[in-house]
Amino acid sequence: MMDFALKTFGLTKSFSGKIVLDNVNLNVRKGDIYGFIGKNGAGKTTLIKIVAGLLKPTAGSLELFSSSDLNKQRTRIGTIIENPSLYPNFTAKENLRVQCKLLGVSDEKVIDKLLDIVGLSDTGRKKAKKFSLGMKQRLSIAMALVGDPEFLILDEPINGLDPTGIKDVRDLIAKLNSEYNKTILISCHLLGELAKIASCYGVINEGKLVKEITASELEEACKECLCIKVDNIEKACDILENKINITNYESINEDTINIYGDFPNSASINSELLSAGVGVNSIIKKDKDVEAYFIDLMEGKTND
Amino acid sequence: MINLLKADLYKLFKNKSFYICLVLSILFSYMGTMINFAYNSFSNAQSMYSLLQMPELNGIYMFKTSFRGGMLFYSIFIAIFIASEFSWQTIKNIVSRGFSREKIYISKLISCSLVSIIITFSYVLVAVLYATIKSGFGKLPSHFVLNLIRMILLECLVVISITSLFVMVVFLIKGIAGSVATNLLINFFSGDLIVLGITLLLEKMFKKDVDVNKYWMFSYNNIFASFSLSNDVVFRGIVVCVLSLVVFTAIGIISFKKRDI
Repeated sequence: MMDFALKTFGLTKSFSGKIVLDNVNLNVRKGDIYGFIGKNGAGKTTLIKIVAGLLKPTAGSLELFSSSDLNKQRTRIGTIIENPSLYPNFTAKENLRVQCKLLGVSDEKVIDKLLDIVGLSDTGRKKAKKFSLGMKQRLSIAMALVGDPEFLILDEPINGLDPTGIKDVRDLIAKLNSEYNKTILISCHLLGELAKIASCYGVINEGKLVKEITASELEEACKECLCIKVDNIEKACDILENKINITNYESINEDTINIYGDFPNSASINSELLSAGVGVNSIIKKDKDVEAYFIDLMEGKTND
Repeated sequence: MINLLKADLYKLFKNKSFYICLVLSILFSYMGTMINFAYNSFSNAQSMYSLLQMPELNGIYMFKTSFRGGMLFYSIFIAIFIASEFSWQTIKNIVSRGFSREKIYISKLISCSLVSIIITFSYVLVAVLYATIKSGFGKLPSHFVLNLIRMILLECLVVISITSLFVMVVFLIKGIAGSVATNLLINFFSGDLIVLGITLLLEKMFKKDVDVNKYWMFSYNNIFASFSLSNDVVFRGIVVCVLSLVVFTAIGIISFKKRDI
């Protein structure tokens, strides 16, 4: 049986009658880095706030670690929601000490270890308000890591960072997943960055979860292919296999075939199909990158 | 709950606003008592030939009249301390870790009550010390120690119930500026002038004497500051303060539980 860190069931939220989250069924498996993708206002932060207990859903429910005793399970999650939430007049150590006291962590060594993990060991007596945005984001991640949570929910953790900052945070997230075995739900606009680390994706558009897809399925969906629309798909498949010796293909629906890998030029396929009496409506070479794939999903276009 | 309290107390004692409010409270107490003495000696000199006599200022007199002095400062501190959790959004770090909102609220109430008591008694202590140094403590009433303990406990109850009002206001408003302004307004409207106004209004409406002070939580700061209290007064005061504490806390918790963060 598959273990889930988070499952939502028809989660719906409306503000003053306006639905911002519409019947969302999200599934985050344990051990995944789940990229949560959507445009501004799509409902990502609303969903994350509901999971964190900051908002109450209008309808639907959720389970954390397959339990509906949410307050108890929330002790097993760490969150960053929207902006870094820090005490500006406290140093990095003092901020972490507050969190340690809150979560009953009495071992002071944890603070040094966490600062080391996020690369803030040398901040000394510098107050958090004097930190750069990247440092604040990293300190927020350290705060979220206090208490050794199994599941991290990071809402836009690389927002506003420079390329070096983005790389640092991205590497940190990958390290937390691979070395410390944390399940991570990360919402982000930078699709290219997300694609480098995520093992699973959820795409949300106008409050609706459009698609959930694993990294391997995404790779499959985005690889170069020849997309052929025909009037007789069974006959076309037979010709591809037996006459042109193409085996790496897939019937997408009742009139569309995708051919992957090294395929011959489209003109020869077209002539073979036509000579066998198969009507060819179109042949298009598809070469979609990850960003284009997600943007299509976010804009409500289908991805065959 | 213990962890929440530990974290709140840590933040509280690391907070500069607490020390600023405490020092200002002590300074105001010192200056206020000094002005009181100056005014007293001036008035006594003026009224030498009349029958009017100002009260004798000494330690015991200042002890009985200073319990409301620190309210201004702890009301400001409470507004800053709690509202900044909302402004900096650090409240999200607490709620998202599975702590119930009731416990978060109660923890804030307890830590703010502690601050209010510290500020109130610092104010009183400075006034009493100044007056005692200037003109002695005064004649000790009978059963002084027992009465003193009773007075201190009752004053703590009043301070806690007043604190519950300030805490409720901040949880309703959430913003620092709005909370400070509202708490300052409460300071202004809690005064004797308002009690007099309400008394006159009620008398006009119902055509009979109404003693608003009996039901006015703030009045018990002065009423309880006495070494000779009847049981009736003590009982009524306790009921008023406990009821106020329960009502304000319930409103605050319900509001905090219902609202999104």
